[in-house]
Amino acid sequence: MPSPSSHAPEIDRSQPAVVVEDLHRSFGALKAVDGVSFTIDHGRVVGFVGANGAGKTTTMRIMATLDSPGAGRVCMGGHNVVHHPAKVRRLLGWMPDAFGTYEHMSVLEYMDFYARALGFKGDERLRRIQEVMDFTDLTPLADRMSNKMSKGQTQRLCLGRALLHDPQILILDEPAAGLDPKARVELKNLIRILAQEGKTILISSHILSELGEMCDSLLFIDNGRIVHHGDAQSMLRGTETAGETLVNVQIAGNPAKLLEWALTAPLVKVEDETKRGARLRIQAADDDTLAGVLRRMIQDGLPVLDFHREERRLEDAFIDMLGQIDRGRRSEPPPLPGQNDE
Amino acid sequence: MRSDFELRPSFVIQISSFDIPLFIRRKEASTAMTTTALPLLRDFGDRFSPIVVKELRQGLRTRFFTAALLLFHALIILLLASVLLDAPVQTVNGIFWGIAGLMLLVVLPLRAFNELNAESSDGTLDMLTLTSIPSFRILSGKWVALFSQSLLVAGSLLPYMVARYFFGGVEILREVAALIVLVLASGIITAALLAFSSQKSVLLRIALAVGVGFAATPLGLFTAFLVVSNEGDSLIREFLTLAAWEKWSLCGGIVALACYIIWFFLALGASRIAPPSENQSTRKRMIVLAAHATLTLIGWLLGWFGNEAEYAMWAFIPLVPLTMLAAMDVLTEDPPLYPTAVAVLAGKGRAGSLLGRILHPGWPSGVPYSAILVVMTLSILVGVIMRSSFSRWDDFTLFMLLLQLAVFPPVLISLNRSNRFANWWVVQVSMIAAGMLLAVFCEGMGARDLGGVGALAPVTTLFAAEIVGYSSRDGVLQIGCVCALLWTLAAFVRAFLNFPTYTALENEARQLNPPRHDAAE
Repeated sequence: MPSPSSHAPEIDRSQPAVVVEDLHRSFGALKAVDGVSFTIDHGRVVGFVGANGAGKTTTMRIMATLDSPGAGRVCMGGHNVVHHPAKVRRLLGWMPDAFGTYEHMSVLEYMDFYARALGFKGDERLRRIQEVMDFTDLTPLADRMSNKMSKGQTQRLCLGRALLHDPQILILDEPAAGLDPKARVELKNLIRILAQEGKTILISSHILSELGEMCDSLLFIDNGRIVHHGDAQSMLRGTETAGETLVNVQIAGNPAKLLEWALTAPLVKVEDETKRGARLRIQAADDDTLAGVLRRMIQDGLPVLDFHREERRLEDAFIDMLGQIDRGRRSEPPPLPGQNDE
Repeated sequence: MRSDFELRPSFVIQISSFDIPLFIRRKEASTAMTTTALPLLRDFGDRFSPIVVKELRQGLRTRFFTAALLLFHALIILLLASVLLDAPVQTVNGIFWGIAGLMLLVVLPLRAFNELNAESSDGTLDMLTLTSIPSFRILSGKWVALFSQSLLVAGSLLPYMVARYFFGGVEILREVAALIVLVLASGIITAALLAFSSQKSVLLRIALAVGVGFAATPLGLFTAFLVVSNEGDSLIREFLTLAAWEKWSLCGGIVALACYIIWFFLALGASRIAPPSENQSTRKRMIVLAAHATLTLIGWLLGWFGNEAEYAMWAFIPLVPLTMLAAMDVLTEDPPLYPTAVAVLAGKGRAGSLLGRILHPGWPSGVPYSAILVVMTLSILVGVIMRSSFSRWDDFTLFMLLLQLAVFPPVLISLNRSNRFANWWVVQVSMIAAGMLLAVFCEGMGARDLGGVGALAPVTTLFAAEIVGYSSRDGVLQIGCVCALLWTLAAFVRAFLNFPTYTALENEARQLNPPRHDAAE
């Protein structure tokens, strides 16, 4: 695990690690970021979720001082990205979604180059390279050409580079994209250790289940706007259809019996047929009613083999949320002529 | 903090199974690396720029460099062997310098063609930006690495030069002078191609590389003139007759000019890749202004105190393209977005604000800045005219005025909205094309008088003056100059309309708290 180095930049812990206020950024007519606001406290791991083109990367690039905000305020570690970009860069580790390595340069030389560029000298430089390479498990690859590695190894190289100056805030844009399951687990392991170190981490990913596992809270962005900020459970609760529960039922014998039964049973609707039963939507969420439904099935002679409540997945919750937003948009009255001309 | 998260326990259990083998492997490998690999990183000391270290490590390993070096030496060896077979020495000398010129002026500098664009498109430039290495250091580091490889090749020519000396027919001073010219030219071409490699468009880069090639042709011809022709010999003899201070002034002046041009191109490239928060312009403008003021002063002194007023042309001729390049550079800069980009002068009160109108980054301040450079350059010509008996406001003067004012119209014409740099060149090339079309049209229609339409823009006026013929030439040139001045005036108006951007940023920069109060932002 990287030890604190003399190059570690100062950070103001009296303020949130990240403050984004009413951030706007347009590319011509396209509003990539449209009034995004959120804060992240020190030591939190936050997932940044959104479809392609939702505004994740633009927001992250502005936070990393690589793009300029059209309007709004972004402070990292108490430093405004527009007023003090050099300070922000010193306390920031950035891992982009797409990045290149250099030809004719080994992993060791790659790390050495960035260590030199960050101002490490002499033995301190060598020590720091070794610490980071050990941490990211790059040591066995020291002599490998940096442009001839697998995706997972390249991601670890990029993470190692981002950690060289021991940054307090890490911005990781799609770090798990294209990784095999083993590489994903290793990357999650590294992120977990960094979180335990107290680093503030913002991770974007399309794989919501992974973010749910790693993150303290999730930020959902759609069309350049934050549509949800909270932990995974609040996300699941927030999009749950009130007072309804999905139940997966399997019976012995012909599943048609179950479907016939469901037609007459109160509070029960068939959602889907399955090979050995059905997914039922029950108009209740409390345990007593669900137990009552199961009891009635057995009393009515159904040979029930399996009866279990379906857990909602984050993906479903996200899609439901987008659906709700979309329906909300469509229900809005169309703008009057000339209303949008300003 | 994370205890409220339900999925975490299963995640930790899953990860734990990977922890043990992973960390064991790390410990074993780390011991191995300490004893073998890490000391290798001491090959370059800490004093070397990180970019130089990186570029040298990469550059010397490329197949291109190795293959070019081997092929080059194989050709030279074959060439020298031909002398033993009674090949004419003069021909061998010509071919020898032809190969050396091709290598130093074309092959090696061409490696810079895609340097910055590759960094940008691969996403590595962002990562360099985050290390806070200034853009100029990136450019200079790359140039040092590329040029040192050219020096390596130039140095490897020395044994062959000695060998040829023993074969006979070689004047050592001429050869050394030619080698120095080639090395300097190689440095300039490399710097120019490196600066232009910041452009994304391959077509634009090819066009600019061709332009650099044309501009460097006189240097190549001068080398040929030095080593092959008999006049080269008499030029060297004439040089040897000069007084010591004259020799040193001449050599020093040439080297200083070459160094300035190299620095200028590197600064130009740096301002193209700099993040918007970085100010790469103010310092560059001040140095350019100082260099131009020095050359202008030399021009005045030569014009007023030299044996002949035309001696001032030694300063004027190099200033003409340098002014156009400097103006092109500042007129194609994007206006600043960050207060940090104007902070240097914003903190110096009213005087700072006033200076900012010519020294802040961005094309609006570039307009008055360019006008100052143009006035300085043309003032040498005015001095010559006032002192010389034969000079007057003739074609040459008007041509020069038009040439200098030709830098302004692209400020007002937008053919490429996304890239001001490309726009400047596209507008100029379009003007040249329009001038040529006009010439063809007028010639075809037999209506030479129609050529006068070309006087509407500075570049097309240069064609129009040729189209209309000798009798109307002066009139067309004069109308062209008036139109060019109107273009310049319009550029000034557009610049002034954009000055509030500077005022807003200056106010923001002044309100910035000093670093110790950052947290209170």
